[in-house]
Amino acid sequence: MATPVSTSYEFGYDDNDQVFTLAGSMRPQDISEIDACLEALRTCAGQVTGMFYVNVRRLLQSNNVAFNGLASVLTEICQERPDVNVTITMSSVVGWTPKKFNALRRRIPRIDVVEYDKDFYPGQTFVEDSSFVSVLRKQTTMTWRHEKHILLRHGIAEGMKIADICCGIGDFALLLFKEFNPTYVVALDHAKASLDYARKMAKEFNVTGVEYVYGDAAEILLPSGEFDFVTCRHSLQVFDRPERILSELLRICKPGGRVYVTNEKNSHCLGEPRAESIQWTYNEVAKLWKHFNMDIEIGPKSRRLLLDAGFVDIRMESFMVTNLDGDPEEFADVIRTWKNMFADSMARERGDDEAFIRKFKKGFDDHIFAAMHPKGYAGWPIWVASGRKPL
Amino acid sequence: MVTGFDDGFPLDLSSCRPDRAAGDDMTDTQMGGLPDDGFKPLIEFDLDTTVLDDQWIYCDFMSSFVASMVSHNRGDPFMFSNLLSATLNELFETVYRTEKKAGQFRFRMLQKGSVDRITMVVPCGRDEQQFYLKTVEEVRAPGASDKYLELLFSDDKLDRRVGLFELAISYKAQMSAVAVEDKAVCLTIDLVIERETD
Ligand SMILES: C[S@@+](CC[C@H](N)C(=O)[O-])C[C@H]1O[C@@H](n2cnc3c(N)ncnc32)[C@H](O)[C@@H]1O
Repeated sequence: MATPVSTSYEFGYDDNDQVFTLAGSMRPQDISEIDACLEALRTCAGQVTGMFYVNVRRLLQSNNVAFNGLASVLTEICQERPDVNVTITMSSVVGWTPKKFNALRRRIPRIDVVEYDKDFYPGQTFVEDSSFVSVLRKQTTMTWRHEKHILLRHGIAEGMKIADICCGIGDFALLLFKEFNPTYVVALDHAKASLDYARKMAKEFNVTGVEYVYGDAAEILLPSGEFDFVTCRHSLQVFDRPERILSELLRICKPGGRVYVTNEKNSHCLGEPRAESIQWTYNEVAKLWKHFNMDIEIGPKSRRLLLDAGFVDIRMESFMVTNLDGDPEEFADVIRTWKNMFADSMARERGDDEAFIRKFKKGFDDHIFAAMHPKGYAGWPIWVASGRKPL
Repeated sequence: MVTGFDDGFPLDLSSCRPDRAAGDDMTDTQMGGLPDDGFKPLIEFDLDTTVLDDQWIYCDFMSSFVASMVSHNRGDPFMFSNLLSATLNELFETVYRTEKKAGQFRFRMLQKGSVDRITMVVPCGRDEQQFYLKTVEEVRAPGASDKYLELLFSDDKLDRRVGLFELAISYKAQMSAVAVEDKAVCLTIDLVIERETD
């Protein structure tokens, strides 16, 4: 298992955002060993106005000596600066932090604690919903038929160490495992329901070479330069700042290794007959995602995103999942789940009225109609892009 | 540092038993029973106490090492390893701060289902035995949670009992301590870390 082990720590201050960041592992024998850090914390707090943020999202470990020291400086700050409130941002992924910082919050009311990854991402609640599981499963079944060939053109080979970031319900990781015989696959996601499902599936299929890990794609707690091949499918589109995820994908990739992403451009979903209604609805889907600060139109932008992130040797192509690939009922099923998610959950959440929702749903129904029609054609286009991490 | 299981360790581990504290009036022989009970061994090592006393950083090394070795195939390996490393480190730091006798510190970890069992034999004299026996009693006493917070947030130099309190209160560990003649103390700690990762 790839376990990040760090016996040292770092600290820094960003005065623009008034954030004091601590990272690494703090296990001093005596409190005096972290004097410099505690002093810096005091000094920075002296400069802030209003809210003082203390970011411990990457503080993987702290012993009680260090925690006691941090807690007493933070308490002192609250006592001496009645005009300042302290917010500690932690990550639910680093298990020890909620335990202790919540205890501190209960003692000092002016200290607030937020789990950064909980509220941070737009649309998090939609994509972490357990009903999402069935959509993902059907989608992967259909995309895999194409991707299992495409992956070869993007550099996948046997015996690789692979990471699948934002793995969803983990089915893609299992398929990779079975098809490409990797030495090791780690699959990471932030939805516990999906991970539970993933682990159950792996057990059912008797696969032990895939490790499913709870984590945050924006702060991946895996070592740098570790993986030959890193995949991230249909997920850059759920973040408002996909470049942050890409920089993490780049970091964990080995120099010379490749990062593989797939993305959609939903407004280009199509069908015949009833093309117009279908097109109207998918244009609305794009707007709806935008409302929640997500970009479901990212597909063709992947090349630029990869280049801007520092990748070289970009390879890019697109494919269309259609009703003719396999059983058209499968295709229809996916559209049904989209309809539920987009029209019933998301549009309602945005506050759309019934007339809009009715029209919005009609386009999905028409897409299903096209898929099931004996002479019909229905498609869902996907863009694949990969880039190499420079040596 | 990691050794086999049958290396003739001078102290008899069978005198440790998790559900009995030293206060219980059982003799050592009556208390036999470990490490079977369906627990399977995961890792074990001995360390000369002089080596252990030598460098504080060993606490960190040992906890990170053990945590990474035994976290495979857990529901969530990363979370498991993070929490286990935190708990082990507190234990090792407590042992480091113990005035130890010359001899072998023995550490072993076993597993049965979701329960991970840690046993440690710390060579020490009567006073230090008393420290462990008494602390194990304290962590079970009423008001232990408040006491833990008092220790954790204390303004004075950190009390070395804090690690054992933390395991008992924050991780709901079951623990026992048994004095082995005047030679050592044997600690047994049962933890359910997977519960924490849910
Ligand atoms: C559209 S799904 C794609 C899932 C999967 N790659 C697939 O193609 O089936 C997006 C995934 O990103 C995950 N996700 C959202 N925010 C995340 C975060 N901060 N860190 C890791 N995963 C996250 C969601 O839980 C969800 O499983």
